[in-house]
Amino acid sequence: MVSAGYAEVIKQKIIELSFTKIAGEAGRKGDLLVTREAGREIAAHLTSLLLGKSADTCMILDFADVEFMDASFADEVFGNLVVARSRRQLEPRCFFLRDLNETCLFNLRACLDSRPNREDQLLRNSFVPVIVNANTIEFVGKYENHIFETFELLKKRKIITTHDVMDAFSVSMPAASTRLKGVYDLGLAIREEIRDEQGMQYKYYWPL
Amino acid sequence: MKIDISYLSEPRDFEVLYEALSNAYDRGYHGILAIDLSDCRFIAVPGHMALITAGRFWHQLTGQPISLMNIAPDIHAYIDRMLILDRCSKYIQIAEDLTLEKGFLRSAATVKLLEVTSIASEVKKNVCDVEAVVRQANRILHTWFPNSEERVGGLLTVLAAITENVVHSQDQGFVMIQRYQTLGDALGSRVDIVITDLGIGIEESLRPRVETMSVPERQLLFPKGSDYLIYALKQGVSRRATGGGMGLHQVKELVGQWHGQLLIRSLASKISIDERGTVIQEDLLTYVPGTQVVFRVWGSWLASDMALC
Repeated sequence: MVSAGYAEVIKQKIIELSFTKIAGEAGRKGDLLVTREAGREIAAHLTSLLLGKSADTCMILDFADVEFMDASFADEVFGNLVVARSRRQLEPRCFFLRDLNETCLFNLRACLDSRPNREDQLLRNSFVPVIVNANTIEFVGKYENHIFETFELLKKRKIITTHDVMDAFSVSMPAASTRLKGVYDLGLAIREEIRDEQGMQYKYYWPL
Repeated sequence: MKIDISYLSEPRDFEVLYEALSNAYDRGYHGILAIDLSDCRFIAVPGHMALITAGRFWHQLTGQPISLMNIAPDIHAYIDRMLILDRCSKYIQIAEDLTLEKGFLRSAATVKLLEVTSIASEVKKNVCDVEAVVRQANRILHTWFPNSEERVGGLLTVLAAITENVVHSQDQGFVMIQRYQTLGDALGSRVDIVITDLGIGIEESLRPRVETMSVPERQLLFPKGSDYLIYALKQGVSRRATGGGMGLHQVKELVGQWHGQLLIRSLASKISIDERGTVIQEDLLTYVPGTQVVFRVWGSWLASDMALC
């Protein structure tokens, strides 16, 4: 059964935060984000902010007031964050970036595209989801196709289960379950534990 | 002792200056070194960077400044306007007691250039300096290119990358930006961004990364000094301790996209990339500590036409 009530709850758990304000809380001006050292200061604050929210909260980091962000800063904040997340060193937390101007996006891409080459160990999924417009979310960085496919399915249907993924992609139940867990661990979905006649399962919700 | 410098326009002119300075020192002269600029009619920003580099190097060697003599009035006015004498007074002096007859106007509203600005290598101070210079450059670039966020963003990216890299030099850096209006429609304007430091150089700054390689691998990759500069431009090169290594790669990418020029000189090696993307490596140059970077792009920078040629 679709838990429509929970879908409404999710909508209430979307938090929109100005990244400029986050930077300000860490002692920076926030409109021009430069250097690795400044990134370090803000990264600590951002991580603590993310982990301070519950797992069913989705944060939208708004860059509308950020005029410029260089690649070093982006690497220290988002590069390290996605690496930690990819290596499961960080609890799953849902966040998206929004309203990056062309230069900020260019520099974010520069750091995340090159990050796998600068790591000693293999990185599978090290990306940040960026809201480009009402209909498009871009994964900036490295990602596996099945993650993107499953995410697009979730975007289309808003609520999916293992059975939906099995049917959509003709994969086994373990494979479908792995896909969905992957999407969840990468902060791209909210999930609800459901107990019904079939036992315990998860429903995955579109977080936005 | 006096050395004559007729030109300070092209990189080969800078080598003449550095070689003359080095020869003077090797001959045992350790006093104030006079640079006669009587034949020099114009010095572009990279030339001024070479003078600052030479002045700092001479001061490092001898404790004395270089002294500029027989300077054309326009050059004197420009040096004054760029605050070179003010901010580099320890390293550069003017020989004669010149009266500045026609100075260039300077005011809060003057936004034609970024005067020579010091960038610290100490990490916390570097953040403040880089932020301040990017903030000022942002204002300046938006007045030059009011309808081209992409160009402004790209130039700020270059500026942020090369100024932050001063951290790795372990020495103070000096940065300048200038826009020139060129004659003839084909090229439009030119923007020069230059930075100089007298630090450890790129080869030494890559040591943490290089030391993880085997000796044969190192010998294969770096048979000569300029190979370190080539390596520094590669994507994904990491200074393992700091996790950095993207900045110069980004600068190189933008040079390629915009058909610009890039020159990187470090210690006794140099690489230059021209507007066609041709890379020239030079080694066994006169040793000058530290790193100098010249980034140059041309374009038709009219407010209504942002197309680059």
